[in-house]
Amino acid sequence: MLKPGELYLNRRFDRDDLLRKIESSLIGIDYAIQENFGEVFLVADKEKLYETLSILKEKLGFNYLKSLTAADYVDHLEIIYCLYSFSNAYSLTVKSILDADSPEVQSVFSLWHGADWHEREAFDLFGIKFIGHPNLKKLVLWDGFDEHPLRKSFVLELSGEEGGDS
Amino acid sequence: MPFDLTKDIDTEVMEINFGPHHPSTHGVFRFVAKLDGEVVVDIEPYIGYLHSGIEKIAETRRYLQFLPLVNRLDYTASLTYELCLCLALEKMMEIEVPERAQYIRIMLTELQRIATHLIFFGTTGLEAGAYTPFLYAFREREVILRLIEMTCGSRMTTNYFRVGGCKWDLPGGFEDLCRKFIKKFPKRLDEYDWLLSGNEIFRDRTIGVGRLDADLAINLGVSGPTLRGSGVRFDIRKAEPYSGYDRFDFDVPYGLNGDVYDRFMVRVKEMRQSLRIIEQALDGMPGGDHIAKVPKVLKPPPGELYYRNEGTRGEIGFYIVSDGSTMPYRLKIRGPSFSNLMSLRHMMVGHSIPDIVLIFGSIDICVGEVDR
Amino acid sequence: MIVQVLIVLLKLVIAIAFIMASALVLIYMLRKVMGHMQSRVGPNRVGPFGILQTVADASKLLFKEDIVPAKVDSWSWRIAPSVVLMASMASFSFIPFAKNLTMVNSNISLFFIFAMSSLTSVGVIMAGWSSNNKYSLIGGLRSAAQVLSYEVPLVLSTIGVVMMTGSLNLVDIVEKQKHLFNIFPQFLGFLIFMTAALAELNHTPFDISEAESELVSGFNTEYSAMRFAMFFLAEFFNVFVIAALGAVVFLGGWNPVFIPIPGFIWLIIKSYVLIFVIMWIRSTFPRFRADQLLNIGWKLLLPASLINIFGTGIVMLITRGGIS
Repeated sequence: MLKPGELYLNRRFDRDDLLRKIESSLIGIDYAIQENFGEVFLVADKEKLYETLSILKEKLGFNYLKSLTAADYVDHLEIIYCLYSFSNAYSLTVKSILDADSPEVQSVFSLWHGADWHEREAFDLFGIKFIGHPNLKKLVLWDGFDEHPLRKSFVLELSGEEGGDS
Repeated sequence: MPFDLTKDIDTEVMEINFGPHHPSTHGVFRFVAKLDGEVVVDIEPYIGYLHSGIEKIAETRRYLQFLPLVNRLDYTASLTYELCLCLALEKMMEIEVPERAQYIRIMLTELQRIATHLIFFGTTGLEAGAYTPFLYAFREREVILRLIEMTCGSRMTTNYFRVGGCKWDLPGGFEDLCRKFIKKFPKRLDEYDWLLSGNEIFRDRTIGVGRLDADLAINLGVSGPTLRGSGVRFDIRKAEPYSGYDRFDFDVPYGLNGDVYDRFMVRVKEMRQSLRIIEQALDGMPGGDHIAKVPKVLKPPPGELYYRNEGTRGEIGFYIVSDGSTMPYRLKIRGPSFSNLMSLRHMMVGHSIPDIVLIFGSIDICVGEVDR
Repeated sequence: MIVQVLIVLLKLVIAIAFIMASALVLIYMLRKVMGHMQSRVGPNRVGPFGILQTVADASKLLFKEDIVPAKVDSWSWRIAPSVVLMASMASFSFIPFAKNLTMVNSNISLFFIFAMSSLTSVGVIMAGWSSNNKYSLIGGLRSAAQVLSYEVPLVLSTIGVVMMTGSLNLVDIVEKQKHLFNIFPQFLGFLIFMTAALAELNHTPFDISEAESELVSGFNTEYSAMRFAMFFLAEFFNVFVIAALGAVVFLGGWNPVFIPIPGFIWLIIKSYVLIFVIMWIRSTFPRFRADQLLNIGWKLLLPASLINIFGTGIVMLITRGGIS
């Protein structure tokens, strides 16, 4: 990180540099690299996900969690971590595949406190259980509503003219 | 039975509920503060009063139909959200935006940034007890809203940017009114600024109150003026310039202590920098088209993307998963106030009730982007 | 004998009428002054230039339903507004408007005014406690603590004037200012008086007990309609009394300033100037936190007023050879 008061100007990073660093740090862990619209995506295995993320935080300096979200692909769920490193200006997205019926994953609250509410929201809207989260309660939906709206199984009723290609 | 003066008095922790209705214009947000006497021991926030399920709605709307909904997230600065979504889609579809459209976009976004910071300025004065800066700030805001209404057709939910540029070009009297505003505003801003930040009472109430450490802020995902007040001089407009911001000359103000006063001063200084950008945009406005040639039906290629830009309160992020059809498969909106709000607990512990109001105001949240 | 009683009653009626009218004018003035300072207009619908606004407000309060909460302590809750109102009206009766135009001309009128105005804190505590509401109690106690802390510098700031005059009689104080108003030699005393006066009146920047009502209710929550109107009026009576006191003690009372118009009009003009300054401060400054407020009262104003007394004594020793 730069010193307090120093301006972060034109922070670009070299993609190959990032890929090399990932390769040298994540030894013994299976992962796959994808590229989408010029951004780097890392698909990690669910079992080693917490380890992968903590190595990425310690060794590559990913100290800022931009976003933590999930997506429902009917037969599986994907959990998505968008990371950013202030010191090296790396930008990386880590994805992992979760079970559709009872999705569970290790909480990253201990790595980034900013994951607190993001995980609670994912729990609320998707039903993903985060093991190790200190306060896993509902966040945005009201008490008593036990469904998970952002799942594809929860169908939003469209009435009449609104929406999509109807 | 005589009093035993040697024993400590058995005190209990008192719980006070703040909200969801507030006297200041912060929106529906509730938190319960546990007080030991006068001092806050812990707070627990409750959100979700404004949850509208916009991410679920996105999965059943075409991108153009979804664009007006994005205005409702940060209703005071709706153009920043539109800009982020349009830029994300332009990156996915590799559309090149004409230069004139870029300048118009930047100019209007910066106008809304000034408008939002004026609201912050007024409500901070109101919470500290000074009734007057609130009315002065809103008087200045009237001019900005008139400019925006002239261009976009509406004062609040603007619905003006499109993928590829802007819906229509700037209207006739825009430049004159804008130049008048640029001429009058700096002197007035100096006067209002001096009214609050030069005031000894205000300084006593805000300096040293509600400190946020830089490392903790980064760990929590705090962004925007809240982060810059703690010393991390990170502004996405300078760090990862988008939409032509690299052609503009402006400074990024910061504070070193991370207290309420620093966050206040950062926003006041940002208003001046935004004015510089607007002036440069007006002076250097190129001719040309206001929108690129874009297919009638937007079908971004399959893939996913996280795109971010600098909103008025921090980092706005859109994570779009597209499956090649006209509607997004999954669209996640990262609102800056959502992450900034997590820092509230760390800042409030150890302060008393009058400080709570000021600290909460200094984060400057908009509940629309917290709950979505 | 009957004539004596009638004269006293007449004086009473005139005084009450005057102060009521004064309160109505003050309420209108506050709204207009604050409005114009905030670059807006203030009331301008009811009557020409909104003059009848206060009349409208007063009639609204008259017609409102008088709600008595069930669990309040019946007698002290009912009496509390009257105590506050009585204290401010009683202190008004000692203000001299001209050499022969005062309700009571006593040799200790300055002392009496201060004594009566501290009775308002008794009424405030009664209101806060009998409301059976823990927030009202906290608000009432806070307000009382603030008033009591600032009572000391308020009184001490006028001691310098008393030393120079040699009498507690307000008429004598004004008489001695025929050639030089007391504000010039006693400028520090005047500043302390104005600051402490703002705190006595619970005005910005010292209005923590009223602002607290954003989150926690003040002492007058449980009151509605006319009972609330009595607290409201009492506040404005107090403003006038303290401003008139400041005008009498420091600004020369009814002594004319260059233009020869009757004395009591001068007193009214001077007190309205002070009231305008108070309203000006009210629209400008933010408010103090409670602990900062008490710090200023005890650690800043009290030593300053003691220094003022000390300095006055030294100067008098040098110039006059002792206190007259």
